[in-house]
Amino acid sequence: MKDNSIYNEQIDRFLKGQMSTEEEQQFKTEIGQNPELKQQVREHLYLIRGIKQVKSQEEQKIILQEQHEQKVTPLRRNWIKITSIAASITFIMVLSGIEGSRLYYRHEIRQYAYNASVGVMSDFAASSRGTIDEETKVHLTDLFTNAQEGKDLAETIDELSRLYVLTKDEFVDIEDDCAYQIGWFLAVSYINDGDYEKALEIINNIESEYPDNEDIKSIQKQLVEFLK
Amino acid sequence: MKLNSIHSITSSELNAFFEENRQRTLCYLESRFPVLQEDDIEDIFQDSSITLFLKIQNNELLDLTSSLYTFFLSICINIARNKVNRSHPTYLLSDNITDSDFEPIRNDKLEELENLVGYEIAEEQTDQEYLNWIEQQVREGVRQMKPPCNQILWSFYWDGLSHRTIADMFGMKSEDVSKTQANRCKHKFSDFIKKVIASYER
Repeated sequence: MKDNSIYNEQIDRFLKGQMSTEEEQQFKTEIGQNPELKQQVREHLYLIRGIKQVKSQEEQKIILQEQHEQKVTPLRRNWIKITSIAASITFIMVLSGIEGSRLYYRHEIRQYAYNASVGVMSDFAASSRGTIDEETKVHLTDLFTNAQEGKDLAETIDELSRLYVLTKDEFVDIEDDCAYQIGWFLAVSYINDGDYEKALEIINNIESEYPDNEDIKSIQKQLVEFLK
Repeated sequence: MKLNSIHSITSSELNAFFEENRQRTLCYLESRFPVLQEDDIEDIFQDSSITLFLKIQNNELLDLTSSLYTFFLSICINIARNKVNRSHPTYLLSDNITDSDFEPIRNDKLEELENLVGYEIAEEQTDQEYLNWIEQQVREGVRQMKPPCNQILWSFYWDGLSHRTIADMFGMKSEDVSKTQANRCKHKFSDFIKKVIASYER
């Protein structure tokens, strides 16, 4: 049985493309035959994914906040482009109906939704200054955070659904930006809850109002492919 | 435009970014460009900070494919090279002096491994709620990492720096020290993951 530090080094060399073809093949074979190594690889991947998600979120916030404070360009365009930083890390197409691939693809959709939500949240923070009262802003921010993190999903979905219905009511005055974000995070909540049909239904509604939004189009495409 | 004047107009997040990364950047530049004086190194850091600030303002970071720090370090390296070439024209600066500093994780290799081992943390665990919860806990674990673990692991996996570079940046004796410390940190994280899995209540 090898020392874990040797496994760590092998995993890192593989991930950085530093192994020869033969070494890679041997390593992949060993993973298939050695449950301990396989588990260590899984834990390694979780660490890397966690680091990428957290650091990506932090850095997007730095860039977005800087751009917002300088008022260089409208944030609505910026967050769409900036979420491509996160999207470039994760997007992959469904290849087969095998459960493992579907599981992986579900993960990709969730990760895309998580990363794209960073920009939506920043946009909301910027656009809601002075337009909605503080109590409502805090309530919405909490809801959006829960949606993004997949926390208290039942309550979050209930509340966002209620608010989403209100956004459709022409007699209720909800700012356009909030309406968009309420819809987006309701879709994200459904994604995190595993209800992809419902998520797609919401996304299709939003897409009809924002047909040029690249993130909406991207996640719509992923959901359509997944549900085929 | 001097860095002091930038502080008054940049966001607190960007200022914090510069402060957090200042020391390791200065150490790195000193080790790679020994012909430069301390004042030169400080100037390079300031000029690079201004350059980064202006690039963000001009929306030039919208398609960033590296970490923000790696991008910033590249700016520092370019400015340092120009400074050496201008102020020490007879000094032989190797073209590939910084090549071995960057060893990013390849996304294709990451995907390959993910496909190979599956996404679930354990063979039988495919429940979505469970996976969501695990991911949340992992993110929280990463956020709560303390030095030197966060310094080493974030530099290695997010900034894509080699252990040699990390050792130079954080004043470690050798790259082996960085590797050993990284293994300890990963072992700690592995213990953390096991506790998280054990604590999950359905």
